[in-house]
Amino acid sequence: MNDYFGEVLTNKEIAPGVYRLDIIISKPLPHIIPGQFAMLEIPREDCILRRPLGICSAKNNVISFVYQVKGEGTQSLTRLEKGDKMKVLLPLGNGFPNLKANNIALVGGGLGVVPLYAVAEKSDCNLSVYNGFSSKENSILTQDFEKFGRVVLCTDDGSAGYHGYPVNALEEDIKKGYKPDVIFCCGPEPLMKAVKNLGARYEILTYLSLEQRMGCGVGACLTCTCKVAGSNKRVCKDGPVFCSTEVFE
Amino acid sequence: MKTAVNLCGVDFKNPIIAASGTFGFGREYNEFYDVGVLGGISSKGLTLLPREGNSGVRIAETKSGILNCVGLQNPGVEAFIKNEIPFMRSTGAVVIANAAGSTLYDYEQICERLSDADVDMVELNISCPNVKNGGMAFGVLPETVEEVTKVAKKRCKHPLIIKLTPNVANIADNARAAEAGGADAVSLINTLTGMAVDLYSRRPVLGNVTGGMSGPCVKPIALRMVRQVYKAINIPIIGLGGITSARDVLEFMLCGATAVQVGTANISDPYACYRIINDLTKEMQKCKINDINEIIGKLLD
Repeated sequence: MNDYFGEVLTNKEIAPGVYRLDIIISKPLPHIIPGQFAMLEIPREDCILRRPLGICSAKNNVISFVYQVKGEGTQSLTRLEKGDKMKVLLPLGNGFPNLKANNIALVGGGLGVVPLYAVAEKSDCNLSVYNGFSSKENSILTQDFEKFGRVVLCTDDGSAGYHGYPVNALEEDIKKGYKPDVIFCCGPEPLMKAVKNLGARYEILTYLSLEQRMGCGVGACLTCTCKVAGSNKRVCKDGPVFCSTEVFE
Repeated sequence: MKTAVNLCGVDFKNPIIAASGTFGFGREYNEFYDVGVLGGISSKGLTLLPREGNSGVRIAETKSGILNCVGLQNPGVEAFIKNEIPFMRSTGAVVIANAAGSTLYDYEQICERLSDADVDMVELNISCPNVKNGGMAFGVLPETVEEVTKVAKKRCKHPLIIKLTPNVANIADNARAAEAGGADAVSLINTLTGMAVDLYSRRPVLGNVTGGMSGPCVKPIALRMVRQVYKAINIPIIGLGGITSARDVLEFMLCGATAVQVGTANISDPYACYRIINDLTKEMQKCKINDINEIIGKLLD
């Protein structure tokens, strides 16, 4: 991990309030494991915390992020234009494990699909992707995921694809005979809890990528802790990916 | 150019100390640079027994600052002695153990335990809730500051730093109380109590409702308090509060600090201390300072 200077290539809205940001890094990129994240400097003097963003794609010297406008910090990210520079600390945290698996099920909810895209991009396995969004309008990266595997687009309101949550779509497939060796999931807490329970019910190894408000991003400030197997772990340094049996107990 | 300072008989190669709670025990930042370049490292706040800290959201951003309510999550003094001191010692930076407690007994015990440990100094965090006094902090009233300092000093074989809270009526009175209680130095300021509100959910942002505010937004208050305390006591001062640059370091020293601590800046930028130390001699040159000791307290006010 290192602090790099990034230069903005593109920064465009891909869904309401959701932006894709591509930046080019001056130095050759280090090895990045899918599920790792970066801390991005906000282009505002008075925003002193960096923002943790999951790495969507890393190719050559270009890193892609997808972020959602949540507050003033991410709002000011939307004003970045081609050529703007910022510091980017990466790669951080532990990503998804590189397992000897034939079939991987990816279950994403909302912006949680972003780190799963990094898995899809690098994986040689058979992938089934269950991505859930509130509506068709808010869905992202569907065509990008389709390059790497079967995608079941799920919407809460039924405006596209499967009407319901991605965890239900996966369970229906499992009942029909689909048996993934491992499930990787990232999304809102209720979805991850449901996927954890699904993994337990069908005895499928499951990994979850947790989200938490972060300070330093490197394990020092202890602001992003979560309970893992009963004791405090740092989401930034010990995670963000944890085995489902150890979290949300 | 001389950057070395001496604090209570302990030599620091430069006046930059990593502030407690922002630097762990130094391991994480040592992955970015050799933390041995630091004058000193103040450990994460330690308690007698391990603590899990607060639940819920622990950090929020405010303009030019942050609020935190970690709640003293730490592995406890025994684990610190066994697992962390050897690493901290190996860095070459001065090792400061930051100790916290809820009762006088806690402070007494932890100081006694640290007396036999291989640390250079003990910094007492007295802004934690005092369970005995119905939740009031030891650090708020001069009388309790003096009382806890006396108790700690009696058991502490290392130079004792009392870390002062700014959430008081007159910080000079509390500094005088620490001095009267036998403190070897004071450090100031700890965080200012604040709040953050989420308008849409109508809830406080922080799990603990209130949190400690730090970062560049508190620097003017910290400078004022360091100056005020410098005029009130004769023991050395470690200044902190929003330091992000070598210029800030020199400003604090001008107000009366013999050394400084850098805290929140580490969270913004993992290289903050490294950068500040590198810039220090350049800034001294600009200000025509040969020996950093010559500016301590020399503000023309």
